[in-house]
Amino acid sequence: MSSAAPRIFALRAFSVLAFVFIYAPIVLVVLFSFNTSEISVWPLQGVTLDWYGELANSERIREAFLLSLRVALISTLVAGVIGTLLAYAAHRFTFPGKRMLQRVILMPLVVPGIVTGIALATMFDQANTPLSAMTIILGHITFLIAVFFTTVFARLQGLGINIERSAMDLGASELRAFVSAVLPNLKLTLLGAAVIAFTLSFDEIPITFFLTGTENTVPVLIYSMLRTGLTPTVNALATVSLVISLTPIIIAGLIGLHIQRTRRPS
Amino acid sequence: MTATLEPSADAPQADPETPVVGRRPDWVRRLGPLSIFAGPGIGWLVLFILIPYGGILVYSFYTTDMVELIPAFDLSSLERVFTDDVVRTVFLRTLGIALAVTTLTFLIALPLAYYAAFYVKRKYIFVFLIVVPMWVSYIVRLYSWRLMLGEDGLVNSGLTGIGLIDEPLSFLLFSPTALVLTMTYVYLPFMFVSLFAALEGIDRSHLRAASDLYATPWRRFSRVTLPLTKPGIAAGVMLVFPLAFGDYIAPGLVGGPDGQLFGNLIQNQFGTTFNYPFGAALALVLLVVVLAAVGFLERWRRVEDVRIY
Repeated sequence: MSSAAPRIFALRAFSVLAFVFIYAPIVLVVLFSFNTSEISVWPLQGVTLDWYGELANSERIREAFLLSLRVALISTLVAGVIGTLLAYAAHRFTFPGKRMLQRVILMPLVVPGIVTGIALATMFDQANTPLSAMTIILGHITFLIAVFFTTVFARLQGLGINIERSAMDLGASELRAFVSAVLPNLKLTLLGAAVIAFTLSFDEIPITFFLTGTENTVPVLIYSMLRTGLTPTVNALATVSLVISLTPIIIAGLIGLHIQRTRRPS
Repeated sequence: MTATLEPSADAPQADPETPVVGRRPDWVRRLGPLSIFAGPGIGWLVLFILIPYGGILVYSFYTTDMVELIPAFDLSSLERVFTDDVVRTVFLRTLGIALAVTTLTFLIALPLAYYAAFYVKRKYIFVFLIVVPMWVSYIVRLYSWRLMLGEDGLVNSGLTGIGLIDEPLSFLLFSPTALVLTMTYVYLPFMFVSLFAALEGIDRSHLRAASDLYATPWRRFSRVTLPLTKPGIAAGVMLVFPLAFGDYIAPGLVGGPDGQLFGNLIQNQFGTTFNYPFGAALALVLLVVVLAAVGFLERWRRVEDVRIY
C-alpha cells in the first residue's frame, strides 16, 4: 500500500491544521482573560487575575449566573419529564397523528431560533404576560422537549417492547410497567440527555434574546457587552462560561471512553 | 445529532400482544394510559409551538400603529416582503452566505471525517476532540473570532509578523468574509458529526469489493464511498443551512454593514422599528425557506436508493 502513504499524510496534515483552526480561537480567549493589558491585543503583556476579581465583584454578572443556572435546571427537569413521557407514548402506542406529532416536536430544533423567539415573544405580548425568568424557562422547555424526546425515543426503540411486555405478563399495569421496568433502563440515557439539555439551555441565545425581561442570562449578558463596549472582563466571563459548558460534556465523554474501553474485547 | 432530525420509526409498532379487538382501534382501548403519557406533551406543544407559530401567520395580516397590533386582513406586509428592494437584496445575500458556509463546512468536515472513520486508530478520542468545541458556548466562539480577526488580532499580527502584509487588513473584521469564516467555524462540528456517522456506518465489504474490481482509490471514493455518505451529507446540510440562514447574532457581531442577514431584518422589526406585522411576514418567509430546504433534503436523501456499481 505504498501508494496510500501520501494520501494518508495529506489527510493527517489537514487534520492538524483543522485542529489549530478549531482550538486557536478558544485558547486565545482563555489567554487574554489572564492578560494584564486593558485591550485584548496580541502580543500578551503579563499575567493577572484582576479580570476574574472584577467578575466576582460584579452584581450584574452574579445575577446573570444565578438566572442561567435556575433557567437551565428548571427547564431540564420539566422538559425531561414531558419529553420522556412523550417518547414513551410514541414508542408504545399507535394513534392517529403520531407522525405529525413527531414533526411538530422537532420544529424548535429545525426552525431558526429567531422565529421561535419572536413567535413566543409576540404571544406573551398579546397575552399581556410580561417578559421575565418565567418566559425564558417556558421557551427553553419547548426546545428541550425535542432533545429528550429524540434521545429517549432512540433508546426505547433499541430496547424493544419485551421489557414492558414481560412486566405486564406478570400483572403490572401499563403505568407500573413503565415506572418499574422501563424507567430503570433509561437512567444513563436520561443522564446523557440532561447533560446535553443543561448545556444547550445554559448557552442559548437566539430564543432567549426575545424572551428576556430585565434580567439577563449569561450568554445574553455577554452578547450585550459585546455590542456596547469591550473590557477584558468579557474574556474572563467567557472563560468561566466556557468551563461551565464544557465540564459536564467532558465528564460524560470520559465516562463514555471508560465504557468503551471496558467493553472492548481484547 | 444526526438522529435528531430523523425519528427512525415513524411506522406504527406491530405489537403482537395486543391484537385489534373487534373494530375498536388499539389507541381507543388504551386511551387512559395514552393520555397520561402523551397528554402533557401534546398540551405543551399546542400551547407553545402551534399557537405561537400560527400567531406569526395571523399577525402578518395585521396592521400596527407602532405600539400595538391591530387585527385586520391586510396584505401590505406580505406584499412589501415580495416587493421591497432591501428585502430582496438581504434575502439573496443571506442565501449566498448560508450556501457558502454550508459548502465550506462540508469541504472541511469531509476530509476530517473520512480520516477519522478510516485511518484513525483512537477514533473515539479524535471525534471527541473535534466535537468538544461544539459545546463551548456559541457566543464565546463568536467572540473568539472577533479576537482572531480584529485589526490587532492574531491573524493580522501573524501575517504582518511573517512579512506577508505591511498594514493590518481592516476588512478582516466586520465584513461578509469575517461572517462566513466565523459561521463556518461555529457550525463545522455539526457537519463533521453527521458525515462521520455516515462514513463510520459504511459496510467495509462494499469498499473491498470496489478495490477487488480494480477501482482506483479515487473512483472507489467517488462512486462508492461518497454515494453511501449521502444520508450524512443530507443530515449535515439540514443542520447547518437552517442555522446559518436564520442566524442574526453572528452577523450582528462580525458581519459589519454589508454582512447583515435576513435574521437581522426580522430582529429590527421587533427591536428598533416595532413593525410586528412586517416582522411576522419576514419570519414567515424564513420559516418557509427552511422547511422547504429540509423537505427537499429529506427527499434528496432517498431519491434513488444508493446504487453501487
